[in-house]
Amino acid sequence: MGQPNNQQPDGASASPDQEALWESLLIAYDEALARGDDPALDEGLVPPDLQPRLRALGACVSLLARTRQAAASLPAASLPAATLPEARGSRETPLKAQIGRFELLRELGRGGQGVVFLAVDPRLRRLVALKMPRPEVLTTPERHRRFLREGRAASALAHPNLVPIFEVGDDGPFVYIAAAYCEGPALAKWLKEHPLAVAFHEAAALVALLADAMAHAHARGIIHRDIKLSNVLLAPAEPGSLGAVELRGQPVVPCLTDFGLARLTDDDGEQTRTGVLLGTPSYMAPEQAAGRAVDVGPATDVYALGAVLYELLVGRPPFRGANDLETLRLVGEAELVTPSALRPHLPRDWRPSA
Amino acid sequence: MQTHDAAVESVVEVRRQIAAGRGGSADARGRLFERCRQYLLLVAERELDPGLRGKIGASDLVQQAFLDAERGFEQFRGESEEELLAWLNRILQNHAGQEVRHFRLAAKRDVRRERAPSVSAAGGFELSIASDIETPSRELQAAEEAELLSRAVSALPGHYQDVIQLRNTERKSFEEIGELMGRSPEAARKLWVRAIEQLRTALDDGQSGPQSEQR
Repeated sequence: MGQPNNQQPDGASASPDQEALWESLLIAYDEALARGDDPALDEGLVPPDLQPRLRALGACVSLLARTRQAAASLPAASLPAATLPEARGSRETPLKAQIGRFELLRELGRGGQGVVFLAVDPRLRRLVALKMPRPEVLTTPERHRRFLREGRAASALAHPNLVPIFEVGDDGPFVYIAAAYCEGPALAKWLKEHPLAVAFHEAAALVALLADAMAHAHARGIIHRDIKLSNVLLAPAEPGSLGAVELRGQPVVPCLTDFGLARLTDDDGEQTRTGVLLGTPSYMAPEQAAGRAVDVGPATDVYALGAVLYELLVGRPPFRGANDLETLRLVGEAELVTPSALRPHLPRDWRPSA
Repeated sequence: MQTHDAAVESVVEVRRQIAAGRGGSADARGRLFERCRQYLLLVAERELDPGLRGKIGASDLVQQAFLDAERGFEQFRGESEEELLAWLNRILQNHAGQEVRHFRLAAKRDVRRERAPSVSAAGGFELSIASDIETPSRELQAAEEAELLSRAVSALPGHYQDVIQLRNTERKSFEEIGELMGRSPEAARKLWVRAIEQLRTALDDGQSGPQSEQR
């Protein structure tokens, strides 16, 4: 993932001295720009063949500084108005917004159900993933209470392959769940960048870990309801650490995220007035697809995990139609194509047990 | 849910308001826009590029669209609510598609210096830029730069994005950054340098790569 640390543009490895020099030049340049000075990058200190590269990096740093200054002149009204409480902060960083004690840095993702922000917890000095319902969804006192209650229940889960929930809280009308921030990519993204890269034993080992995590949650009465590739995060790991597997030779800890939260951020609680279904059609078990919410249980999660395994190996989920509606119909009616028919290298006798 | 009569009445009412609005009634125009606001908000939400969402809110986009629509209402040739929605939608798409405008609109600007928008024969919407706006090319260039930067940063791996944001935007010390990211200050420094290198490469690739498609 990425270039080797010491690589210089000409391909030779830099000495530690050269690296340290490179580093301090850029850092000093950046600090001077931040102070408002008009600094020059002292290129003469590096060998001539590296000067263009240093200049290019300096230009990059200077661009970041310019853009930050330009952003600083924007009125706070540029923030999504309906999303956040009024931005608190100095003129220096007018785009800084806060929920409770958490300082929001940027949006990590936005789904049909909610938004996730990367935030700083200044009290515990760590980064967190702050999840909130979509701001366009009105929160009633009842939903507010339910969010806190279910978030609390989910925070009791503790397993190496579950993303831990640190706390649950509110800031006026805004409710949030603070979970551990995972630096690694979601499995969905990883797979897109490494198509057909997963060996059978790697996929099986990964899914086995997730199944164990799932069992842990089910034993405590919590069902996920929305297991899918984008809810599996791959945290970087030391080899041999708890809950780690190898993916293409790289140790990762696969973690399920958003356990027990799928219901919390939808518009209508249990009811689905306009027929909007909870979950992701490609991973839905037949009972979910048919909208039989009352039949949804641990088996629903098991099915979804099976679909994840299928997709890891085959490259697409078991059922995918041209649109959601079509997908749902396929889930209910279609025959499952056995993986080995699509990917001949897979063991012939392995059948997904749905 | 409306009864048939109520629905018909509603259509007639809208037509009347449109006519009144064209005839000069700001009140009628205001009421029309309010009817459309919810729909446009949904569209704006869908249209906004994820990289932009932190900078431009859907409601701001919609508000800007309304401003343009208000100024150029005599250009609207339709009579029905559908046509009005379509027209407003095009204005909105234009705004969403021209992110460079974001910076121009955000700066304090004399509204009188901008000419009214015009609707072309094909039904498209064009905003003609007043010639006496100060150094427009520099503004636009800065805005384009920022846009490219934003895209490039958003495409970086998570830990590179984080260190750049914490250092360059939040101006945190490397000690703080190390603490937040679970690294030593030295490791944080190295991470930042690697992130800048990666960003430089991404920017260079972005410029020499294929043209991004129009939205």
